Amino acid sequence: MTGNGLPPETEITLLLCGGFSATRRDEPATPLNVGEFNNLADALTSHGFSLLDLLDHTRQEAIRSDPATAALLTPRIETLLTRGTAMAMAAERWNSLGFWVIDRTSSRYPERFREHLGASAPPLLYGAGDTELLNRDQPRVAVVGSREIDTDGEAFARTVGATSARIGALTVSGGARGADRTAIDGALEAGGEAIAILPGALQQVATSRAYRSMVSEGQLTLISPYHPGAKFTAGNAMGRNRLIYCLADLAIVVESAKESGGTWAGATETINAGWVPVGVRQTSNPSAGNQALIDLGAVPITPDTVSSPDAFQTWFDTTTSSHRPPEPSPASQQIRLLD
Amino acid sequence: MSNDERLYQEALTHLRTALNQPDAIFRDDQYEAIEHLVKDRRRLLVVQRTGWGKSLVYFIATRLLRNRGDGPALLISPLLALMRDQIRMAGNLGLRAVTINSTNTKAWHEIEGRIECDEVDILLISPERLGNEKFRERVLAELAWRVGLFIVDEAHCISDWGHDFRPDYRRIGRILQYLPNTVPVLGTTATANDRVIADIQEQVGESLRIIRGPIKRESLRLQNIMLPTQSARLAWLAEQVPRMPGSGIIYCLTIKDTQNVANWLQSEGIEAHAYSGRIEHDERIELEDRLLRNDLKALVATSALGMGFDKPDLGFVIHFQRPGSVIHYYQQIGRAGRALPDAYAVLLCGEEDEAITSYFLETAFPPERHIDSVLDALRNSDNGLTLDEIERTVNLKRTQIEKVLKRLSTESPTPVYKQGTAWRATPVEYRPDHQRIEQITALRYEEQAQMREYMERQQCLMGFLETALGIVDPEPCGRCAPCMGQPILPDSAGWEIASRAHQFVRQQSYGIEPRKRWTNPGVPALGYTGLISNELRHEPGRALSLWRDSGWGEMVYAGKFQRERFPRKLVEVGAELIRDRWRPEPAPTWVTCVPSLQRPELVPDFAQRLADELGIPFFPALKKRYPTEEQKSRQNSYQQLKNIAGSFAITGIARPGQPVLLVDDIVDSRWTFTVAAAELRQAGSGPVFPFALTTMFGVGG
Repeated sequence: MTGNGLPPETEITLLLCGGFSATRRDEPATPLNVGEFNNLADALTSHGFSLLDLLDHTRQEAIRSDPATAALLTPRIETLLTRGTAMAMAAERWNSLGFWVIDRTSSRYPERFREHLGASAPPLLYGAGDTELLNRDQPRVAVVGSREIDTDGEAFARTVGATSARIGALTVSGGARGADRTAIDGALEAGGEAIAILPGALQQVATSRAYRSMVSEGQLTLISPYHPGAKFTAGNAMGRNRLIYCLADLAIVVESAKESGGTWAGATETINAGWVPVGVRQTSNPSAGNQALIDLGAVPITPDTVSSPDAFQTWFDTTTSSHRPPEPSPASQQIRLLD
Repeated sequence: MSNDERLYQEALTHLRTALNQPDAIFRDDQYEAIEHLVKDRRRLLVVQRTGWGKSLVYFIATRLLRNRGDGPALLISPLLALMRDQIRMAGNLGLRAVTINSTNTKAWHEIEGRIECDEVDILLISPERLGNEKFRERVLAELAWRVGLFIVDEAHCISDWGHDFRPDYRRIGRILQYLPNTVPVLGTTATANDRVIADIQEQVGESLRIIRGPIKRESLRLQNIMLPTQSARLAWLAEQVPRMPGSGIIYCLTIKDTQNVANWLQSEGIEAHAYSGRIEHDERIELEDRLLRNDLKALVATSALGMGFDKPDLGFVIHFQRPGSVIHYYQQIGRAGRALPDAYAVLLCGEEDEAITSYFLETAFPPERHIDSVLDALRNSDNGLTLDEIERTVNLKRTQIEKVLKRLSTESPTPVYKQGTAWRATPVEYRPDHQRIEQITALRYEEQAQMREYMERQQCLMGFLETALGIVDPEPCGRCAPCMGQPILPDSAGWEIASRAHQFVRQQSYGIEPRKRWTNPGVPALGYTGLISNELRHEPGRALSLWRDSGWGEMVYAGKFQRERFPRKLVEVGAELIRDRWRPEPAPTWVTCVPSLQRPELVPDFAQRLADELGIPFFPALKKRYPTEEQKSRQNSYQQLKNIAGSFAITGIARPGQPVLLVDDIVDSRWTFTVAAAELRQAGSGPVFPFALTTMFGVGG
């Protein structure tokens, strides 16, 4: 997002799907969700138009005056399209503070999201730090877990981050308090790199003293499907959980409640979808949630394994190679919305 | 009737309504501009001299777009205070125009409501507003999602090659880069050379169309006059201004000069008044109105009076000093003679011009060490720092800190941003663009040299200006002094008036206002916190000269740094100032002075002789407990007070309860006088009247 503005694909995606206020409530019309966005793109394409036509006054008029497409531009969509000035002011602000925004057609957009999530991959990603990390050819370990963890859990999360760094793997995590941040701190302290996928509050985290220099030096990349000024909400947190798993080669659950909470929901969703193998911390006295995940097919991993780089490497290799990836999402063929 | 014809007829009707002239027709290019915005919803830059009717274009375009159901227009202009007439014209068109600025914050809430109900057709804001996050979130957000026309007034400011580049315009340039083509854009300016136009085009995009008209002002009669000393130029003004047609503007480079020139002209019975950014908003409007009504002969102004000031019958523009560039100069003289057959533009050149313009261009960018120290302070803080807190942490003047923050926060990407009242660091590594800074500084020096060349020019002056502004092979104007082959106006003043002017320059003095407040947190151990009580404050004081000015400033400088004794003449003029012109009440009955360990004799020796001249006794009531750093090495109030507080000891109050004259050689921050006076008062002296030989305060812009 440097130099002369945004690519037109990002412009139109932002106009239709982006938010520019701190809360969704303050938007003049509800931005399109990914399904609505896909539908609009498909409908326009099937009548010989494209989303990019919506950026041009004359082409817009053509869509409005064609009986086949006139109804597509509902009052809600017309309202979203008039937000050009709001979008420009927001984009300028984000860019000035060091944030970027990319859409699904960008070469910097994570290939894994397209691969696993297909047309339901988030239309926009915002972030700070080096985008090169997003598609770098390097093993990735996701670490998830609740906000409230005991000292053993904390030590485990930190060790996973540190050992991942030692074997040259990238740590991916949610960036929340508790297991998420501890794992990232472990990775960064060991000189490794990390990606944090945030459910909002991107601006607060990126400018915090703890992470500011890590971001500017390229060690830590922050991303979020929600814009930098968006407030943190529980709904947002749920929405981004799957992204953490999908960006990694495997995920390790430090601590999960049973049948409740974001960790449980994300882990079971992943086990069911089969995106990546899920590992679970195994202790002599496992929690009900951790045990239940093992029962559902998650792979146990002990504190001893994570503290030895060799053992961890072996476990990583075995777990990833014995995982049978799902058939590519049929929808992954459909990301041609803006072609 | 075709759609195109209908649009034309509709626009013409609005034109006639706006001007209240049933037979008005469009000027060159005006309709073309409107059509480009309304029919094609495209982007346009209009470069036309003042008076062409740029505001008609954007009001009629707004009216037509609103008639078609489009959203309201957003107009960004640095000149809101001067747009009262334009807003009246918008009213003729039935446009609801609303201005938002820092002077009407109380109305923001109501305006927000009106925007929400779609009861605003055009919102006018200053460029600074756009940088204010609170404003953007509260007020602008409502409008921003449906702006139907984006208007940037004085668009040349977007280019940092432009002559009066403003940091806040950088943000506008970037917003335009991110603005999708769905929003039509109009930029307007009266002054943009090829380079600036090319730069704007690069920022806004290839689709930007340019409409550019002629720049020549036929009525102007140009003349340059070299008069090195201030007194010679003052004398010339006093003699010539009363003979000028109508009212006019006298431009100076510094605020101090506007005050001096206005004082002098007033003392010569000429209705002149100083005008600068330091004058209160309401008084400025009042002064502009008086000039518009010809109720003043002249405003003596800095460049703060310029863009947007619209007086068709302005009879003359005189420059007391040479501006930094041709484009500045041309913009300022272009105010004169818009609806007159003859108007005068006289450039007086003095010995100090070059030094002042060089000072401006050397201080245009904050030095890197200032940037580094502010950035370090912010990066080492957890939750950011307020301006007060930064001032306590770094040894820089508040204005220097503000300049750094302004510069950095308008960079993109920026290493700092403001959240509430605190400045915070971002994850952006900042590297100043040395090459760009050097290029711009070099360009400014070229512009300064070009102005020097203009001053010495022996051929057509208008031709020189036109060439400099991109007109190829202009015709000689036939009206300027070189074209006429003789001066239009005499190039010197009579002897009598010259000697009065000389006297005036030497009799200048400068007020020393008491400080009213200790710094925050001050020096609690000494009780120096909060307000400075009346019992501890000094009285208003005086300084004899301005640092190295052409009155007595040079003599003070030489006395202090070369001869190490102040000459007899300064004792005489000092006593004369105190006794005959200042006349402090109650009159001091004794004299004391600020002690120094570095030059223990210099000031006491002067104070003793001054006391003798005044016929009252001198007692050294203060001594230094320990050496302190020179106050001028301390850059802000917090550091200055900290440096000096507690460093004085009282040796004895010679006349308890009696008013005293407190003498020092140089006053700058006033903290030395403030602390010394507080010590004297606490030890039992009467009111303290500070007197300094020279003041650094107010030097520069």
